[in-house]
Amino acid sequence: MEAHAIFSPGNATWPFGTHIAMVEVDPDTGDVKLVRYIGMDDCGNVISPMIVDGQIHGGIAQGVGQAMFEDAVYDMDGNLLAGSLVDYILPTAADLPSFELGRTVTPTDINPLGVKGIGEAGTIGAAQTVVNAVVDALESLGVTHIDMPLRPRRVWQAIQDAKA
Amino acid sequence: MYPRKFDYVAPSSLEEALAALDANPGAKVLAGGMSLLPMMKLRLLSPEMVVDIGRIGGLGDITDHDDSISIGALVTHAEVAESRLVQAHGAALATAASWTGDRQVRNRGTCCGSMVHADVAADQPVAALALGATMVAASSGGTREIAAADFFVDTLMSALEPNEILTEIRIPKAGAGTGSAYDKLGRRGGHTDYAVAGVAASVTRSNGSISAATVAVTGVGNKPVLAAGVADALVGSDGSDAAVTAAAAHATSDVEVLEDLYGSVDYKTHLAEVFAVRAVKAALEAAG
Repeated sequence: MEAHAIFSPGNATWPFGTHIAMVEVDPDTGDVKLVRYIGMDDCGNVISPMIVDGQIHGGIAQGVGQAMFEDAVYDMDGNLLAGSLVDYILPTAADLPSFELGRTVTPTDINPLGVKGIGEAGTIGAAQTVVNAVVDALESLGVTHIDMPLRPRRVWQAIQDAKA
Repeated sequence: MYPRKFDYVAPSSLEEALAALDANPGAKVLAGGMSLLPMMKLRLLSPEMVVDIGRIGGLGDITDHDDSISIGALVTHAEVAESRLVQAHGAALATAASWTGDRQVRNRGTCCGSMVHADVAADQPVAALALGATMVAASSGGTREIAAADFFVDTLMSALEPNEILTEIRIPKAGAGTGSAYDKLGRRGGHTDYAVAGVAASVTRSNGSISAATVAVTGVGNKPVLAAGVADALVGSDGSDAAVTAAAAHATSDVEVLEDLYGSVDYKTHLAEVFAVRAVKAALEAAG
């Protein structure tokens, strides 16, 4: 015996949230330290809080990786220089602060469970949150923009360019 | 990746290990394996034989001698970092060991292994230079002593012969008024990972001025090097902030700074000066 059912929601769901990063920047070296990371997300009704928090943790780590570490550098002949995990730096638990998470619960009426997507929320929030925090920290030095990833050499160069 | 096939011996005495090296030119010595094994797995290195010295007794101690301390071939980074003896007489090395690799690497990798591997951006070789360490190399023909200043030859190349084992690093005991320190920027930021640039310094104060100084730089060139210009400028000075900053300007005078993934020549030159200032100031503070 077989049974098939298709549920087709009438629209996408719209999770939302606010992320805040606190960073310290060493202007002499361009070194960035992520001191605190606070994420408030709303994915509607939460059935398994541990899984939801885990999704957000992993997403923030991935976003921080994009913001601060992961750099696919090629030479002028097109060779990938960051060809192993020695040189292509991924964030590990030791590189990250303990995330502080909270949530609001605004159920959607698009599906019977009232749930909304959460898998990408951390990633979507983290990259610009970290970059904006660093630019804010360097505002008094005249820095208004730094390209990701915020490798120390780039942060230092942005400070030098702002001084010039 | 898997390494190519290789033979493996684990002798129980130093004599047997040295005989194995004599009988198998191209054999490599395995202590902690934290650099050797990844290189073999990436096939950057394919020795026909690996001589594991991990079962040889008497190589795992940090020993207190009259005028020096010695660190045996099997002493791990974590043991160096936590050793009261190393902290007292070679604080720069204890700090460098505490920032080497990650916790797993520090619990397996060895201080002597880091010296022999001679990575251009490693932490501990530069501390050995600043502390005026002596490397004790054994072969079947006997032992010889190599000054740290002569030990680091080029990228991933030490003065050790293929049939020699670095059995011991000797660090002269720090007398009164002497202090050392190491500071760096790591590739992962802060002090984590290999050094983008790092500086180790040892200074001695007497009668209000600096009577002796040794400074060395890592991460910026083809090998860790002594920064004689910084040391020369420090000796005879009062150790004031202005004197230290002026001396640090010579940080890369004795090395050709090379660009890499982590920084331009300008950036690395600047970092070497920044960390020369920080390491010398910390060493002066430790000197009292």
